[in-house]
Amino acid sequence: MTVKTIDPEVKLQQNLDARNKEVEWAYQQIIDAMKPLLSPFDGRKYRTFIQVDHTKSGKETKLISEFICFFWNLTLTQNIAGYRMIYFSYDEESIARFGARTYNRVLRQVFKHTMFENTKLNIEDCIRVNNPTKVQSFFINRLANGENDFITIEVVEQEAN
Amino acid sequence: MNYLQGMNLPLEGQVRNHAIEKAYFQIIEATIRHSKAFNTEFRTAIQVNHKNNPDATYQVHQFLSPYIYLQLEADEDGQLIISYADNIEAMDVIGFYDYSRILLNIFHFTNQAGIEDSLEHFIYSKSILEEARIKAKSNTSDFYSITTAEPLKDQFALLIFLSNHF
Repeated sequence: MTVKTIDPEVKLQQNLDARNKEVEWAYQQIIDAMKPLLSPFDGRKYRTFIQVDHTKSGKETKLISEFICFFWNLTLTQNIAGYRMIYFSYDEESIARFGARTYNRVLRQVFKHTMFENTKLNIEDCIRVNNPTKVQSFFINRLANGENDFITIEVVEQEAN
Repeated sequence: MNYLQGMNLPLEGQVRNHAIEKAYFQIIEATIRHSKAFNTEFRTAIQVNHKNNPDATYQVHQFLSPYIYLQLEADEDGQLIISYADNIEAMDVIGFYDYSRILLNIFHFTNQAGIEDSLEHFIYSKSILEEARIKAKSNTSDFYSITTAEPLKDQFALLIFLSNHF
């Protein structure tokens, strides 16, 4: 009797596809959880966020999707090995100005939705947290360029007092 | 010492404190385990048990390393909180992967209902570690201890090194 076994290369690719799908799902969950964290702020610019669909930009890039606001930047990319990765950066000035509470809450959402206990596959290694950096200037530049086919700008409703 | 005020908290508060303290030491354990892939300097940490320190007020315990500080503190009511500070310069040395994993440990063990907001972040200052090193080496107090984690075997260290480049 001949037993058919799946080609190891095909199996690896299937595993990678499944993992990447899980990472994309986690990315979306993180974004959905992040938006309400902007609602307590009074200023409209603090409640504004930009989403970029890099797959429609027409440019050759490893970037897939991006979420940018005044305080942080979350990016879904694909690395050279074909793994989907999520990069998170928080604005260094914002920690000094607004305190670290929002920073902690956002970071918690990033890790919560990629933790082993909360996902079907282990995707904990997909997260890369960057050093706090200058997200504000990047956000303001993007805002100034406005919306187009692959960039949308929205404002979160302010939380009722 | 604020920590002792915790015994006067209602049962719910005491249960919460217990969970926070447990999470804190789990974070330390995971951080030490993770440090095994690092060089000697980064595998060495100072732990300060302020429960034995008669001059301590809000501090209960500290874990001080060149890349991260972890502190267990009690407010004036005896409510515990976990504070952490990450050294950005050291993070450039250990790489994205390890930096992210160390933060993951902190959020993983505090990802329990009721203690999620027990976490606070503060700015890393090298002077805290330097002062602790001096006190630990001078042996003037028995609540400072210096520990160096055993290094990982070479093949695991290589695996972690490679993962830092993705």
